[in-house]
Amino acid sequence: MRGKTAITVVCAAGLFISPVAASDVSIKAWVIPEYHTLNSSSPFAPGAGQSDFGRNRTREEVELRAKAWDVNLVATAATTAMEGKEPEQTAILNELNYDFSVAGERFSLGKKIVNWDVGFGFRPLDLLQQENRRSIAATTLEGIPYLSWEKFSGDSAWMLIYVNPVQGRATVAKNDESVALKYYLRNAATDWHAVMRLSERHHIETGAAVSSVPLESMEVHGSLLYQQRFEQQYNSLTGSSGVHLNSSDPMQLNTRRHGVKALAGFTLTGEAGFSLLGEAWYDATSYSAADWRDVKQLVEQQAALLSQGAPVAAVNGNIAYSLRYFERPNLLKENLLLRLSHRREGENWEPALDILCTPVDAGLVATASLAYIGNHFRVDSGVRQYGGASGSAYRMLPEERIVYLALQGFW
Amino acid sequence: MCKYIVTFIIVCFTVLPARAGEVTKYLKKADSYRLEANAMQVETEVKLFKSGKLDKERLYTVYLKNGRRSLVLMQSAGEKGQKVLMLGDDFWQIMPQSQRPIRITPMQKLLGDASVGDIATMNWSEDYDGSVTGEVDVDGTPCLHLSLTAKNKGVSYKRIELFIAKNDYRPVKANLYVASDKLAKQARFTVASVKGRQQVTAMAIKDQIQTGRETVINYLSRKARSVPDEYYNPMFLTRNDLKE
Repeated sequence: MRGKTAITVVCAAGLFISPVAASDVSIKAWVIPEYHTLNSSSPFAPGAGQSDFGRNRTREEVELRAKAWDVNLVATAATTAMEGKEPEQTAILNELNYDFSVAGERFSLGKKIVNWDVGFGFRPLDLLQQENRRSIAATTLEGIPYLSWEKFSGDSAWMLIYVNPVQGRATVAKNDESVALKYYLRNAATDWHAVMRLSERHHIETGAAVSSVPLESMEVHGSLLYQQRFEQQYNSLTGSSGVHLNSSDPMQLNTRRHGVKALAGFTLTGEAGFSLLGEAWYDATSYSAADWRDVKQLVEQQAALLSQGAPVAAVNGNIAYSLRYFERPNLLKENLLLRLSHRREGENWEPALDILCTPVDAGLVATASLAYIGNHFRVDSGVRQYGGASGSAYRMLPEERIVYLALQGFW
Repeated sequence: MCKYIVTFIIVCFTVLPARAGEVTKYLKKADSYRLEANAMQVETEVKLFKSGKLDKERLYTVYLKNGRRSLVLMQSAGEKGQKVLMLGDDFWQIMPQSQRPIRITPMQKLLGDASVGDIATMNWSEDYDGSVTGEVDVDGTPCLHLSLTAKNKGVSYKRIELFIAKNDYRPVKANLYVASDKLAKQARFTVASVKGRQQVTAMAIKDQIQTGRETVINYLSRKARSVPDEYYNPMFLTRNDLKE
């Protein structure tokens, strides 16, 4: 959304909140400078100039949250200034929804964040929202247009939801029109979730999740999703013996059948304030180590053409196409995550260290962070380092490090 | 020897149950200073002090209902949209950024700016049992000393040494022990007349582990209010039609 639209949204928000009590309005302002270090040894590095990899950036964001007459509003205006690019202004209507009941039945409509999974590093059952779990600063998500019918009993609930009305199959999967059913059951210390969704892109998707607290200090969770159809993006030049350059976009979307996503994890929290999160997951819609070997071989062959007189722009442009392999939420099918954090009651500081690894190719992402939580402000800082074995997907990322600082004030 | 055995049996089967019943009675009276109805809405203000200096202020709306049910809505700007639901020994939290109710462990509810357990728990008689261990003076007030142990696993404190005024059973002081039997906090209660009724108007909690830290919970208002049972369904946390 560009400048004029941003102003319109903010004005609409102003009209909406003017009769609302001050206690029902809150404002959050963020400044998030990020310093990105290019990985010049990556075989993909020649294409990085045509992407956002390696560019320092600052994001400034103001989030408005208001509530009145069972209507909930969350709107964000943001400016992103990226090195070598014009500053970009956006306005997002994160949520604008109305909850109501008719004859004892609960309904809701508008735009809302709809998350269903029980995981942290990966959420197979987030069929509708499809959040990027690798973002370093967790800003509020953008919701989806929907109409829902819900029913609640003491220990169970179900929801029938219709999202992105009349959109059909959209360019981006998150905007696809679909209908979904969700069932929830609480059985003592265990939560059970079951979902089913119908959409043109995936046909039938169905899955279940469980979350349980067997001990006072321990929570275990897991989820499993089956997709009748799923999509994978490949460079059509991989595996070709002759032509290694293409004048048009060689990335192709292949539709596959019978995809599975699965996750298992736990959290352990001790009396001293330490929390340990461990998760392992499998994502059939992501790439295998062989896929990464193929695309690595391709970009190396493309780079080698420079010595044979191929135009630099053509070579770098073709390598840049393959950078889309890094857009997947998971770079490999198999992933392991460990996160250790510490916070005591009333403590201002919260340090955390998380390590994501891909055991098949020995790739590694380590993130160390430190947060300070004040009365009307919060500061988050951290460093994320990509690495691992030579030839692993994360080692080949055209960035090797991100250092960030997120300053947040709230009123 | 036989005389001692007989005395022991008499104590076990007559005196101790009577004392236990007496403790429940005392706890219910002490609870009535914080919880005046089966279902309530309580507005609370929490001030966190570090070395005597104000560090943070937070506002919470708490809904309580019989059956050990409570719902905490965070009202301060930095926490707006966060909710914590407590159903007996089970707990859920929802964060506004992701809008999904997730299960948290009893340990996790002790984390954060202020312990949700301290804010939302206003009832000892449902969660604790114990005995009267003596009579002591606390700051010049003659008190009954109650040694309490948790009946339920999800409570924040496994053991409480509670001191209630001998004349009217109002809570005066409590020593709060965590699972490792470490003294975690010491609470003192302020009782004042509100609308002609004696009520706990504030609870000052001194941290005994992180010394120099104190949390003062001020009860700004209390009113009898019963919200429908479905509001205590974890999936209902995503909805906004809870009238505050």
